[in-house]
Amino acid sequence: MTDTKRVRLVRKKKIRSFGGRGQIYSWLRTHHAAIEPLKAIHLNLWAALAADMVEDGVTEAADGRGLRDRIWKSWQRVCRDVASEAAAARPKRVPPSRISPDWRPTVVPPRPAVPTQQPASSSGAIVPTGRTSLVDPNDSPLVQAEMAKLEGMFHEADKRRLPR
Amino acid sequence: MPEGHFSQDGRRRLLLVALGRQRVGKTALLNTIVQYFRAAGSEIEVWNADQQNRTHSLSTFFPDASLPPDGGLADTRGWIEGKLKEQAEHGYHAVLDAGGGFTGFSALVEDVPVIEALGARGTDVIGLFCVGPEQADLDYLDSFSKEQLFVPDATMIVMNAGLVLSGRSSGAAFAPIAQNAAFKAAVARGAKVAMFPALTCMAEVTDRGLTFEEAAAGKVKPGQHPMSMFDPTRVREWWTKKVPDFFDTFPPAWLPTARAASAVTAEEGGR
Repeated sequence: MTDTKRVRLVRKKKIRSFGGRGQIYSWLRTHHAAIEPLKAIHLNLWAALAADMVEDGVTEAADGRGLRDRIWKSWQRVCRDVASEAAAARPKRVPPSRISPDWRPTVVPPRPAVPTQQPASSSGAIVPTGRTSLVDPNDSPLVQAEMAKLEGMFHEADKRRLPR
Repeated sequence: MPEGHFSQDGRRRLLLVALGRQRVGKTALLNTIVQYFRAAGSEIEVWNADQQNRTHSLSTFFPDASLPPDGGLADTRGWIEGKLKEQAEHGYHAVLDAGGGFTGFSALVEDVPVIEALGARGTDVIGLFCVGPEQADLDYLDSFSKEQLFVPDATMIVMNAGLVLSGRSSGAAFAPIAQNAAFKAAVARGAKVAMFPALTCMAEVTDRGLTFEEAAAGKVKPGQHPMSMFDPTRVREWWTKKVPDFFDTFPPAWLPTARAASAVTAEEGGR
């Protein structure tokens, strides 16, 4: 019956191996460029991708238990890895300067440190950190990961704004 | 697609509850969720318990939205209980706009452990805590958590970028919120954070009672002034790109089920 024949979402490709990563990750990473533009238009993306994976012999996708979450988590990781690789590959441009690299500006010496009072953590008050980054190495890995994601969200949101 | 690949689809019902102060975007968020997932074929009931918001209430956008009877908190609490029972019997997803302040929903969660009770009957509760950049916007999260009244495993803190003043960066606006002890405690418990994208002409759409698809197509209702020239483009960009990106930051199990995977693949095959 032709009306039940499934149409693949992404074109079949030879799956690259990404050392130490699972099959689902490798499959998603190989097809990243093809999947990225689809996510805005295809709500059941994960279901359709799973079907393509099964067709390509990805045995990890044959087990349906929690598959959608496994695909989603792998996809988040793939996106992070692709973004950080792209950032690392960008050449760092150093503008020419006539100023000696040893020059330092004259600065007012810092005030002696004054001990700060930390508010009780249950009060809902801001915890002063003095850092510019939201990622606090003293937090649990879970909190650090979410804060790093949040910084990425802020960056993305601000990148889209037009200069005023 | 073999049956059973996505066991949670169609089996676990979701109750998405938006909580937060007045004017932090609870109704806008739920309006977006319902329009988006209904368009994809999800069966979602709309429960509008926000009795203070008339102009932009969910009932403006969804004529089928259920409203509590006139009365006090106890009546609203009883109405919510009834709706939860109906949901468990009929198996659809639902969104609840609890409104701001002390509400029938607050009264209910003070009375019974709602999350556990619903979980036992197959309904997963998703807490959507809506916040703007003000510290006081976290009061709901803080008080519900501290008193252990309503702390779903599935908690999403939704930062509403539409509340950031023009000219400020989102990072600068929301960084103090992210350093708040209540916020960090929620994240440590497993809460996720998402940023609801701003739509500069949101009021132009909601004041006219338009759906986002209508606004993106430049349609207005009879007798209404047309939208400005670029507003439909703004809405289209937001609806087709930013909103899907926003939902992409949610764990899939926290969102309403779209059509069964098998239905989609059969349709694709038929194209």
